[in-house]
Amino acid sequence: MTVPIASRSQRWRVLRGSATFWVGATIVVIWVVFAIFGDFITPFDPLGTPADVLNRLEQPSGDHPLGTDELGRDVLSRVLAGARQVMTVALAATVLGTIFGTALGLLVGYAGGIVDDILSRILDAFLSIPLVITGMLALTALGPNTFGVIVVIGLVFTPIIAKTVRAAVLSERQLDYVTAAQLRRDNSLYVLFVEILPNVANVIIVEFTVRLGYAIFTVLALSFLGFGVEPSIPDWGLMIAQHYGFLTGGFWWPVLFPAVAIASLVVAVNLVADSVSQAFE
Amino acid sequence: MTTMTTTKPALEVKDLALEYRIGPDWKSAVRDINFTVERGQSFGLVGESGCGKSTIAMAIMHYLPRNGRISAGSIRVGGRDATELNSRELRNLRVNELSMVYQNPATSLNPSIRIGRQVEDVFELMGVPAAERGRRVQEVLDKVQIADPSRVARRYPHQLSGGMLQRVVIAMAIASRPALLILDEPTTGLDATVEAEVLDLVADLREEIGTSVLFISHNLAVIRKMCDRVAVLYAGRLMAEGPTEEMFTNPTHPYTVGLLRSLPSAETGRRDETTLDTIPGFLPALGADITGCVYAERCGNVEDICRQVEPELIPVPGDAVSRCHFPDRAQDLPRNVPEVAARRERSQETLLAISNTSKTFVQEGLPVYALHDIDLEIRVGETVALVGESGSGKSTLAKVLLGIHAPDDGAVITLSGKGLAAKVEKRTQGEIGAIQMVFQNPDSALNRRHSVRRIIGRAVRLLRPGGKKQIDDRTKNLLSEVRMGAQHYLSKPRQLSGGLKQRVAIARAFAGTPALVICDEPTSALDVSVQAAIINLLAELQAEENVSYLFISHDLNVVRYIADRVAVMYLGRLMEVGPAVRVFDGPHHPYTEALLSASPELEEDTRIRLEGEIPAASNPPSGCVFQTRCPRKIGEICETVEPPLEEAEPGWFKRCHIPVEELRALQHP
Amino acid sequence: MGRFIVRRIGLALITLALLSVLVFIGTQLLPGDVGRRVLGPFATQESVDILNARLGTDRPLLVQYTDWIGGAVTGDLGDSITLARPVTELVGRALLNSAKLGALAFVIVVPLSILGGILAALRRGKLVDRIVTVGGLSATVIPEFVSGIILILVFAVTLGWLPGTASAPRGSGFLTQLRHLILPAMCLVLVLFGYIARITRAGVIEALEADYTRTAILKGLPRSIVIRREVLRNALLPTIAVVASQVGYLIGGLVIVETLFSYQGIGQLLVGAARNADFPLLAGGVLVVGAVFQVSMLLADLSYSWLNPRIRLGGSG
Repeated sequence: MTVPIASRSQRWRVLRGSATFWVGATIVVIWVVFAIFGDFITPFDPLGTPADVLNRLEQPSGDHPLGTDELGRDVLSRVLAGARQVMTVALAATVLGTIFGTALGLLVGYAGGIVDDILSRILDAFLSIPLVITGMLALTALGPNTFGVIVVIGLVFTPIIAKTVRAAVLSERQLDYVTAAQLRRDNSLYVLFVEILPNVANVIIVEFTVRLGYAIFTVLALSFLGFGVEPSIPDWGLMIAQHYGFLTGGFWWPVLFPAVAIASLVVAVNLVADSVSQAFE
Repeated sequence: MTTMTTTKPALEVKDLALEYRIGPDWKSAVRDINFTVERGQSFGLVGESGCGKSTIAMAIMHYLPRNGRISAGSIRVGGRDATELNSRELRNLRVNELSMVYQNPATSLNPSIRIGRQVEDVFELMGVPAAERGRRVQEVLDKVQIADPSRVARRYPHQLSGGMLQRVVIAMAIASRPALLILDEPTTGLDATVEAEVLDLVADLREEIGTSVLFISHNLAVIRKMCDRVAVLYAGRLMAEGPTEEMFTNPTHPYTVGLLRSLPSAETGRRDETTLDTIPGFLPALGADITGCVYAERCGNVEDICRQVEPELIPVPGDAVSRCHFPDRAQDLPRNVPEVAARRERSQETLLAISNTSKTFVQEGLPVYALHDIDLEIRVGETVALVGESGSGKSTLAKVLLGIHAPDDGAVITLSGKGLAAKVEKRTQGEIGAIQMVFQNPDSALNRRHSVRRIIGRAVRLLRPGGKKQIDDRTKNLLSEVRMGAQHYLSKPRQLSGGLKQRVAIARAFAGTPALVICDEPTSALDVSVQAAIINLLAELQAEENVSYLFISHDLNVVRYIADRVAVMYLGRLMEVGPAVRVFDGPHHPYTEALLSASPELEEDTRIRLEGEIPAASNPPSGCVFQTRCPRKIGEICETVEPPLEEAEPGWFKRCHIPVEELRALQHP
Repeated sequence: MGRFIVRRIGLALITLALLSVLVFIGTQLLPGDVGRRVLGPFATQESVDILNARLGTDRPLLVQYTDWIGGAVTGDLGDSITLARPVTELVGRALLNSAKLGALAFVIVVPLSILGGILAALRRGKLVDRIVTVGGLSATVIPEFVSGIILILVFAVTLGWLPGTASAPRGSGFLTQLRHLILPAMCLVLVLFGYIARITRAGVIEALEADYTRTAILKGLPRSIVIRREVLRNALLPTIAVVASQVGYLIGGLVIVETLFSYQGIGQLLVGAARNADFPLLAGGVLVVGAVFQVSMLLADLSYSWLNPRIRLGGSG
């Protein structure tokens, strides 16, 4: 008996019926709202004012529900405002990596032969260094700036996504419709973008959602290590890096709340990614 | 060992209904199934894909998939209901009384355990003492005619051929001398000569150990050869049941009649004399709600009552039953397509000639000789069939003609007398449109994301450029030429049945007014009733367009029906080429003789057994490449000198040292 | 088999050579003027020139590369700028420390996650499965510094059971060292668990649904033997490669964990080198990290092929 191919509406039905998808999506949407409107709803200026120094490291209270940090800035305001930085950087980097990775994967998978061999070796070499270290290396060379982080993570993702897309293209190429295109001498761009691309679109969607999770992870890891952040922008990773030394002194609030924010966002994004991959594969 | 009273039938299936859960709903897959396999009997279940035959087999083994369940009825093996057994009793049943042989032997054995160990398991489970097991393994492997049991026992599955693996699976299945042996499409996917050997083996074993057999197949000829009784399934319903010969010679159900008529056989006239009859319409969807007879929509004998009342299984003469209101009218079923074949003109003019053509691939640094010294011509408007077992180079030859693979230096390919570039990229637009292809599997050949319009339209645009309007008109024309309505114009492949998909693929091949269409097993993925319609269509298109076909097939009955000439390949060489009638009537090349004798319609004693396996194309035997397996080998010359492909009679070529007269004497004593 | 080994080792060497080029580009080409990047915008041109001359970064790139890679092959990766010690010595010592931490994490996570994956597969769709897959996935994506902080808060600050830093005082015994390594190792375990468990689960499910498993069950083999011999044998083989590929994630994780727990391993060394723009140390360290990864992949592939009769014995089907 043949298995019927899931149609688009069936895939959405699977997705709609998934509890993990809804939990994840709800949390992601909340963070998206904070990322967009953070400036208008924060109770205090997330960047702080000169007067804040008088309220350094205050415990959570009615005034400051999540307490204040070592410079007296409101932790709640900084957590809410910090959503924007991580989400825009991660999203932009993932989009960049997906576009480049898809293009490269299509090219390598379709060209095959020696081009495939050479590029696959380079990708393997690239992938034998952990993501965070590649990011560190590149940002050391480029110096700290948000744009640099986007480009570096995007470029690091490129070979990873390319590898997945390449594998999908290779299995599509085995199919006779590609031979049929060859038999009417169709041009490569048509075959690649009109014939093959729609058939690997699912793979790319899944890869995009999964990578978005890793992008958030990497952006935050780099800012925690002090790479690529501009000190003036509220950033969860940097908040933790600046305050975890105070943990043993009992000042847990400037560290725990950004940590919880990070955990909720990455888990939510990955719940969505997971449901998407189950619906689409 | 459990004891069993021998009076109880080996298998009794009563009012069985099975359901599958698809999404939230349970859908009926089969219902009201009743049949009995008596002790020592061989019982066939036959039907087209989706009829539920494998589902029934799995239910009997008590191994339904996670989303399947028995919703009604009972299955009794040796008198006991398997659904009521606890897990230990069920295991005992499987060890001692119930065995199965599966469709795909290559995946049915564990890749990381040696063959001997896997066979030994069976004896261990039966309680054979450890000391005796080794000997028993040898015995049972010997029994399935494995020449060197101790060597095979040390192998891993990937080191053996498909035929050999199926012997091993059969050995495991018969080791306990089970009361019931279920064979689920055991030879589907195997080459004809291997299939014949496996079927002979099963028949011999059945005689020897007296086990009852439930034989499941889509292949009517195989069922006819193997079974005492047969049940025909359609859309999850048992349509007819009875003694095999009675069912085939005196069918009492219009569906059985339709199936038998759509199959070409040795008795069927050739394509210039008659069309193949077909069954109209499509199989209803799984779990569809149908009042009346499930076959009414497709039946030529349909009356009002058929659409209102579902017929019971009623007894008919000859110890059979039929689920039809009018069983006595079954054989008067009107033909679905007129018998008159399309007239066509044939000429002696050469369309395509290929000579001195070899193709050597390099695999891991070693040469693989896929084609050697091919000489063949195809005339305008004729059908040349290319036959031979898997690995013989049929598809490679097709790809060389199409320009997908470049042949080795020295090859000459001409189209209408003009030299043809080796690679498709170097050919002119006209030449590309002139040689097109219909693929085996339409699911792979059609882009699943594109509409019919786009699939055909793109080919038209590139092969016969014109304005948008012209392209659209031409696309619609092609669609109607393959007898498809305009309602399919915007459909995606998944919305079409297998037969319709293959029509779309055929329409695409005709986009550029081809002179030669290469059909690579165009019907082997289709059910028999659909196959007949596609073969008719190809024949009609040939008459209308005066196109030539190179028709690759392993089904010799189809070849006999459609081909004007036949070319037989073995290990990259043409062994015999000649007019179809001449090739089928003989005297034959010894390899052709073996191929023809593998037909399940023939008796075992006329079978010509081929020794050993097909040699590797990277290391072909010296002399004649067939000499290692040739039953007619005459001596040293066969081992040292490769015979040329010579024209032994006008228009008939053979690659063999034995003179025609001697072959005649050997083959027609 | 012999051909396969030679081929596989050859591939690893090519990959390593390419890696060295990439690292060289990252540490010499991208920064532009290395001396300027090290000394900062306020240093005089003269001192920048002197540093460039000392580092050899004023020579043609090809000469620099051949010099560097020639040294690397003989075990000489130059000297660190900030620490004024041979890079090989610094990296070697740090690597040893990291190996201790990584080994502890691996010893815990490999059996745990494989077991979890098998359980999840056998109880597909049940609660255990959801816990392993959803829970494991969530743990995998939470950055180590987040899980680390929560672990420190609970086990070091609140409960006071375990130390919040990884470095034991000089001269501590084995058990004390081990106690210090538990929390950082747990961070790594959390990150690695989900992925290995998932791949194991997928492999087991595939084997459970394979035709040969059906054959084994229908032959009458008891379920426990079917699972142990038919399923696990085929399902766990690919897991070897997955476990080895996790060495990469492990090293990535070490960078963060060692920083958080101030542990003097390769991760902290690299972070320090990057912060101080210590290019020779950075280049040498990254090259060694890449080599470690490649070697572990190589070993995994070789053991996989040795255990898999299809590759070990070759032959046609």
